[in-house]
Amino acid sequence: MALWVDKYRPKQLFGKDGVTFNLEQAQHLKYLVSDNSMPHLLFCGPSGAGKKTRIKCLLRELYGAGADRTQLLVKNFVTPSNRKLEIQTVSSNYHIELTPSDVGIYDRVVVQDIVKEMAQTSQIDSGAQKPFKVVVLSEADSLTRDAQHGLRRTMEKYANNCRIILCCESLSRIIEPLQSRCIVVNVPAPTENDISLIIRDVLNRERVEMPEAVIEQIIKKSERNLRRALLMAEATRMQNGNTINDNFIVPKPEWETYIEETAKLILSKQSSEIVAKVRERIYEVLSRCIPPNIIFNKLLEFLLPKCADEIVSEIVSEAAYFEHRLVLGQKAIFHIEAFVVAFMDIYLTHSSKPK
Amino acid sequence: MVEAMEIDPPKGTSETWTEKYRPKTLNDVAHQEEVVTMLKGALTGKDLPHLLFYGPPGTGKTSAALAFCHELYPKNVFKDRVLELNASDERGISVVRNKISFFSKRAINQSENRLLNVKIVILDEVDAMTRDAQSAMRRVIEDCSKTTRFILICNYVSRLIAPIVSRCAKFRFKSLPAEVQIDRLRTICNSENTPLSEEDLKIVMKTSEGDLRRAVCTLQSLAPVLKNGDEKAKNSFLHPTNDSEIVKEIVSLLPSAKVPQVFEIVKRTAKSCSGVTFLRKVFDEFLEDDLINDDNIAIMGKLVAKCEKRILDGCDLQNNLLDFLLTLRSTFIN
Repeated sequence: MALWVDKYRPKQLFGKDGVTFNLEQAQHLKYLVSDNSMPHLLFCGPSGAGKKTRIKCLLRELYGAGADRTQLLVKNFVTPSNRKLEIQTVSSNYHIELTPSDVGIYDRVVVQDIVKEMAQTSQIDSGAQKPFKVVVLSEADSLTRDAQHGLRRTMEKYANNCRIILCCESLSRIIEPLQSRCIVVNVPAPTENDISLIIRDVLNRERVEMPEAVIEQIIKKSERNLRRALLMAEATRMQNGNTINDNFIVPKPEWETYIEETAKLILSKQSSEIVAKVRERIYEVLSRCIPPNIIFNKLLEFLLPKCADEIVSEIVSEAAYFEHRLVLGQKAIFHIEAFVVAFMDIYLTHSSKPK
Repeated sequence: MVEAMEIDPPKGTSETWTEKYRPKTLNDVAHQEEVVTMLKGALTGKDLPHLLFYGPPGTGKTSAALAFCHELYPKNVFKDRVLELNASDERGISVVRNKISFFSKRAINQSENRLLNVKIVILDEVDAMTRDAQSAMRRVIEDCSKTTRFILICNYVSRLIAPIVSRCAKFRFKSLPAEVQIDRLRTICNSENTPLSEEDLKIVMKTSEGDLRRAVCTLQSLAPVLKNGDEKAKNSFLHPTNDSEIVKEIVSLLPSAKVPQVFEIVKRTAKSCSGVTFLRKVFDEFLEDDLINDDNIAIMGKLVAKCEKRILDGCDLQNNLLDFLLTLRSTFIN
């Protein structure tokens, strides 16, 4: 049985089964492929906003049902230093989809080879099909600079029979020359209203009754991530069966509660013992493979509302500073702890100041 | 690695406009008079030094180099005389040692025309080459200058090592001014039969920030919309609502906003805006409205730079946006 997320994924760009938000953009995408001259595309937007869904729809629009008949292939590449690389790809007759950053710093070799490989063969019957194939590169923002530079001229040279669709979260990490070669399609996260409509629609089609209050909770907790919202809705349904209580509380992820408790601990008292305790807790979370930047964000989210307005700006500056170091550095624990100590310092100085 | 053949497209099909309307001759290259004059001089027999083209993307660097080579060499010897390497090819130190020096040392059959007795190596995107590879180039450039000319192309001349730069005649490609761009865009519009009003052309041009390729790209994606005559879709494409509206809102709200309000704004925008560009737009808007007093401009400028760097390094957008807006806000309070 398919998950709701997959079951109710829009199948078309536009129309009855089409995507339900950012309609004007969908219309425009449809126009783009209606001609025989689709440009290179660059999709960007936060997770759960429907980037991949749109790309899928676009491919279906271009090639019909053939784009759905995909197979998993493991491709092999050899770097100039004779290192062998393996990368998983999903491909149909018309397109290939891969995440080059899977191979880390060797991604340049992959993008160089794959585009050339795709471009070498052209459709035999160019009258019946689109004259070009499509390479979908996911997580383009984690491509190394080298790989991005490698794409530049290839994109132009082989544009006749190979179009590239890049998919990324943050546009800022894509180098300017690449942006200038693509049409940038910004896919903003759905608004709470959009999410509410979609959830209600899915519930309706599944014939599940869910009280208003619970739906509201799900919308709040999804943080405008549609995938998360639908998964939560389904989980709630699974836990409760068909009769969902009015005051059922949609559970938060456990680690989130754990971090919230940590934040409370930090606020309760500022001393070196507490720092030691906090460190233990952070190690605990880190060892459960929660990405450090998420820990950072959540911690900040729980700490800030408890602070006086005057010190908020200072704290946020510190947070941004230490997060930057965290990204540049190797070991997460130092930076998170440094932030905690910096926070304690600011907080303590402020609260002990005579009013 | 086998070089994929460039397959000529079947007529009238899926060529992207950026390729279709790439300048084919030197005369077509817009707005770069110095380079064009120099290259034309070389075509008529004047000396041709090693060249270094630099400038922002979409100003015609690669096009000028290619157009020059196409005008210089007849088609039958073109493949023989021109080596084009770009960042998509393997360009480590070994390639410089083998491929480039092999090519430049090779003798070519002498021809009557003195001009044809020289080969050209076009190195695109040189700033993406490693330092080692660049150093290895130094000697190659000098040793082979009798038979080979190099055309180096890059965005940032500062990323090249000084000895390379000093071996070439430098040409900066200027950002294209509005009139030139509009002119070119209009020509394309006319030949593609997609009428676009003057204002709309201006908007296309403004969003592309002096980058002609981006403008042409935008134009192409606009074409099917125009063909279907869908006014609404056209407008929504030309005036993407979210960014500019949010910027306006921030400008009007921020000076008097309470801290929770700032949180709320950031939460809402971080998931739908476009990152660094957004940050820059907010700052510009504040500058334009003269809301930041002179003492604070330097501080804020520094902050924008700092936040940009952080975001480019891969930090979280939300945190930096928050930092930026809160500091901006605090300058109003004092």
